[in-house]
Amino acid sequence: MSLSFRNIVLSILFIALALLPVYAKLAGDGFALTLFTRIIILALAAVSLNLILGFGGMMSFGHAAYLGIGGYAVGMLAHEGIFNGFIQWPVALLASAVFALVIGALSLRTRGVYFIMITLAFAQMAYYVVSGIARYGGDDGLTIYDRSHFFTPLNLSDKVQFYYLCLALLGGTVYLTWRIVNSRFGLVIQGSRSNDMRMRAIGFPTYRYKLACFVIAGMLCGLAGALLANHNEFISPATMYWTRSGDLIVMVVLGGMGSVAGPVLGALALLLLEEALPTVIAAALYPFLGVNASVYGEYWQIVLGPLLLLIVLFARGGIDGLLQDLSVRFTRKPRVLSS
Amino acid sequence: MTIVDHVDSAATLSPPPPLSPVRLRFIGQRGDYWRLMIRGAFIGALFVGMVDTLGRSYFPDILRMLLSQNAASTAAPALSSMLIYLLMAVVLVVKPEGLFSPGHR
Repeated sequence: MSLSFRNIVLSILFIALALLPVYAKLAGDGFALTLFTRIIILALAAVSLNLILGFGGMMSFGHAAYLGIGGYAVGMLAHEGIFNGFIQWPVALLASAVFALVIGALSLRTRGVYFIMITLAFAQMAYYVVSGIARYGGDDGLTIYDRSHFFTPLNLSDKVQFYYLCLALLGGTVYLTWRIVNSRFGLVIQGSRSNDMRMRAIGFPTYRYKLACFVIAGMLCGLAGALLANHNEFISPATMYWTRSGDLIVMVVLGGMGSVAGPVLGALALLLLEEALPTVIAAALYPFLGVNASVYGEYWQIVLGPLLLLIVLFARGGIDGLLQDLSVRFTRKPRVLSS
Repeated sequence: MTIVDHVDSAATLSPPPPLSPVRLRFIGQRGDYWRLMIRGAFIGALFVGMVDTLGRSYFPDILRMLLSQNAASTAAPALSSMLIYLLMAVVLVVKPEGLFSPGHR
């Protein structure tokens, strides 16, 4: 770990996230705490997607399915009167792992655009199955009357404690991803992204490696789903709709594919833009339209789209790539000129 | 890429013609263009359209024969919207490159 510009920014960001509840307490800003809890949970999901998308080159377009499955595992158990988190969360992880194992085993036979389509197909099937279960609310979703119960000092209904739990789990997931990516296993995964046939030719059964990676990512996203259900105290099929999978992909691409911290930056950027853009647009249009300007705030995606295009066109590494470029620019070492 | 290779190999006797789709049709190589580019999309579209429409019309009735009235009426709308995705998944599992992939010649 060098003291580059990027690492300084990331450290400041982490400290800011860790101190956020203090700010929320002092400013009496409960909304910020709720918003950032949601951002952290979706960042966890994006980190898990990055493991297969950024490092494994597996463009899964059905990653939100695990959010839903993890969430519904918590919601269904709560609906049946089981609130013990030591039962709910392992069930959520196990359910996502089994789902990932089944669809991974079938999907990884295909590649490229076919892989995108088949993961999308399975996620949509899960969506429609859940919409059809009338006992658990079907289309309308399922209200969860109490958050998961753990041992006594840990109380998830306390927003600050829940925030720190999510932050700790996000930190743990980022660390785990970093360890996985730099292990022998992770090198095989990355090798197979570059050239699958060559990896197979030198004797690695890449199918099994990729399947294991797919299952790990699914489980991590299932964990995010369990957190999300606890956070919203509500779970509905909309959580696993394909547009949500798209959001996760946007977070990964925006933050930087194949960078461990990238998806966290992407989730922060996307969700903060989602919150801030309506206000910004309304403020920008105020001189022209007066009071009516606030109506146009809901068209914030018109601004988000071009921003995403700019990132994709001019900053291939996403936000993390930009930070790295800036690090290079800020270091005083003479830059090596490429011939 | 595939078309270029194919036309080159098919037209060994005459100099290779310009490769616009329209030209391919007029100079009698419609068969190749049809086989490589259109056939899969055409049949796939018909297939998906029919499965979706017929599924939405008849699937609830079929379910009603198998399940109780109540269970069928709640599950049917969701399951019939799922059919096209089921079709896509099954096709991709059985033939990972699609039904009419030009394949590797």
